[in-house]
Amino acid sequence: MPKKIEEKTTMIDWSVLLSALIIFGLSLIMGIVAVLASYQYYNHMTAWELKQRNDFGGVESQYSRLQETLEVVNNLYLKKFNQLKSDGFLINGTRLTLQEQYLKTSNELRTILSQLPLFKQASDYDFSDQKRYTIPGYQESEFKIYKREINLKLGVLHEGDVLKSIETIEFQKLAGIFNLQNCDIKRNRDDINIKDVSKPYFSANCVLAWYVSLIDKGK
Amino acid sequence: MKRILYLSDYELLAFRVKGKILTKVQRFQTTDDAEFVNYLTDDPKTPIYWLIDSTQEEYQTALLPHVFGKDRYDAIAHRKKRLFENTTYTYGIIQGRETKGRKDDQMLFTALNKPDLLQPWLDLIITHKVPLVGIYSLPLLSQRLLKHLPKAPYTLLVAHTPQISPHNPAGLRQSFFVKQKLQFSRLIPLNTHNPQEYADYVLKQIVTTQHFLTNSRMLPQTEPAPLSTIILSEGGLLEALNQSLSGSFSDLNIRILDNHDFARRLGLRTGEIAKRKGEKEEKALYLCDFVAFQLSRSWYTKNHYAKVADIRYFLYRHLRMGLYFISVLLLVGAGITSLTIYKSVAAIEQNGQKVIEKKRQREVELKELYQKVPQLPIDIVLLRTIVDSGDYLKAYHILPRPALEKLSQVLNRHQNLFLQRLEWGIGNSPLKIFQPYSKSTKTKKGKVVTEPNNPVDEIDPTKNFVEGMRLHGKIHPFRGDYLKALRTFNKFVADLRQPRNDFWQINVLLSPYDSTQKFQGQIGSQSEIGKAPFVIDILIKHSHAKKN
Repeated sequence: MPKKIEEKTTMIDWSVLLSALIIFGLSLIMGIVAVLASYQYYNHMTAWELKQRNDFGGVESQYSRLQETLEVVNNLYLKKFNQLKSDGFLINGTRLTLQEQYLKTSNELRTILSQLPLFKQASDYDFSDQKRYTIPGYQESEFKIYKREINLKLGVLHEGDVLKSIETIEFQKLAGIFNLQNCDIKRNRDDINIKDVSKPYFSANCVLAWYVSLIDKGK
Repeated sequence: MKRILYLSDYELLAFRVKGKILTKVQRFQTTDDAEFVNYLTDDPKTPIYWLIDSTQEEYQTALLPHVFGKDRYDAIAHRKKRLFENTTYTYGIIQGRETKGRKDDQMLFTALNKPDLLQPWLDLIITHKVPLVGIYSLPLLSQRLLKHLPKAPYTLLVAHTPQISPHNPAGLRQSFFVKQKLQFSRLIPLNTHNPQEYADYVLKQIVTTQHFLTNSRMLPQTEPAPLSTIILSEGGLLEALNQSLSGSFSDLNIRILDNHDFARRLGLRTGEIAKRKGEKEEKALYLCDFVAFQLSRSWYTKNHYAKVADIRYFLYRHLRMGLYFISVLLLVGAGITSLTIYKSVAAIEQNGQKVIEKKRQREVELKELYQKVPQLPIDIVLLRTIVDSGDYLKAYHILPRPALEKLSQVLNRHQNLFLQRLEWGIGNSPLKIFQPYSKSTKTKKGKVVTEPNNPVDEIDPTKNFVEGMRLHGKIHPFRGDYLKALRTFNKFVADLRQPRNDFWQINVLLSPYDSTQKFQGQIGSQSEIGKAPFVIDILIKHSHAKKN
């Protein structure tokens, strides 16, 4: 008999818990909604702030670019650029291709060398293959520099003729930038006889580096 | 406020305790009385503490093995079942441990042998969903009064109870405690209002109880008996008791306390007592008043008799409270979280506004700048790259003439030095200009020793580059005087190192004489005269400073 009572009373009376459960549920929903809504607002405002920062970044970079431009102008960059173009370093303005420019320069150089005070039998020249040249610290871009090495073998009477020859090439203002890279001057004979000028007293092996550049927007 | 029900065999009393004021609110004699239902429905929310003070309550002391956990629970349940077969309202409490033998637990088991006494009331309470905290045994709770009474190892507390039957005006409860723990209690009717008869009756009952306790070995059989009896009484009865005590009962160790004094000691104040129609206001204090008051003063008292099902509405109440509390916590937590987020949002908004302001300012400056900028043929970045590249390459555009002229000036002062070969070059580092120089010397064993000679510091190629000359020459004419040759050579090197020449480094790779060189040959022969060659590196440091 007592057991029966116990069994009966184990039933849960949900009616007395209903209001509390409803309030709990509502609180839970309200709490979640409040937190989610505020997070949503937070995300919205974060995105808004990011957009403002990006907009500002855009304006700022535009401003920096313009400032840079002004700096370029102030530092005579434009003048230098035009000078490089007229020097033939940048071949875009010359209406020649790289190949054509090479042929033109080699023709001109051949002519110049033939006019120098050299022992012709002991002198020759040799163009190396064209290679891409990258300046240290600069990244690859549409602006490309190409380099060829011109190996000059010169037979001269006096060591000063080597310098004169190099300076003559320099003076001709060939297209591109010419830099003397190295020169190895050797004395062929210890004794000098001013009456004997049939053979070169000095022979020199010099390397001239020739640089041209191109803006290649295709790559 | 707390409300307490007190159930005797005769009636049910309802108390209300507010602060220290105990008020008898109502009196109910039958469950058919609609007043009890009204009482419950008037305030269905305040929990009820229910005190039982019945002649049907039974007390059994027993020893149980000292075990823990489920074993203890099972042992107690088993013993209760064995002791009290006909009721489910049982309770067991550990009151101490034996000091000798197996050191078993000393248990007191109590039971309400007549569940019908409380069942109708309980059914009504449950039907009306009033939270019931617990059903408590009044004698067991009267233990708590002992701390306000003179202490003794064996105490018999004698106090009045309200009416326990329609034929008696009151009841007399005698509770026996050992070391402040209840061992036995007895409720008997009090049949008289006459003080002297009352006093004699009470004292006789005490003597009877004392004999019972001694015979049942609950009280040690020593002389005088170690029992300390405390009688709580009031009014004219006190005087009668005192008179009787000085007479034939003088050998008893009895203390008589006035109920009202004791109430004051407890801090108990009684409120206006509600009464049924035609009933006189009642000022008498009973044991139940003290116990009810004590019960109301403690924040938790362990339930004695109520089963889980009986107190389920109290548990539901707890659950509800818990749910409400969690709801509040949730809302407060959500509120705080939201506020924190909104605070962050406010900061973000403030930053955003600052950025907008900066943007506006920059836009104005931008417009001003636009007016100053000329048109450029190509992209500014590309233009800059081209110009900087051109500058870099042009920086290498160095001819050997200036360096050679300086060298010539030095050589002109040293006619004995004869140059056979001159290497010139420029590069990012000295190592890239010349091949590493090595000289070979044959030792006695015929082995070739190679001595590398690259004494050049590294430089930062992004900032500087080097122009270098390597001179291969000899002392000429040379007639075997190495000392003179060495001096001439050293003077030449010292001249090269003069600051006015702007040479950065002078490195001697081969000297006309070195310490490994040995002199040997046929005496008087010209062939022993060797050569005095030298090799020197001259380095000039240039920077990539822009050239216009």
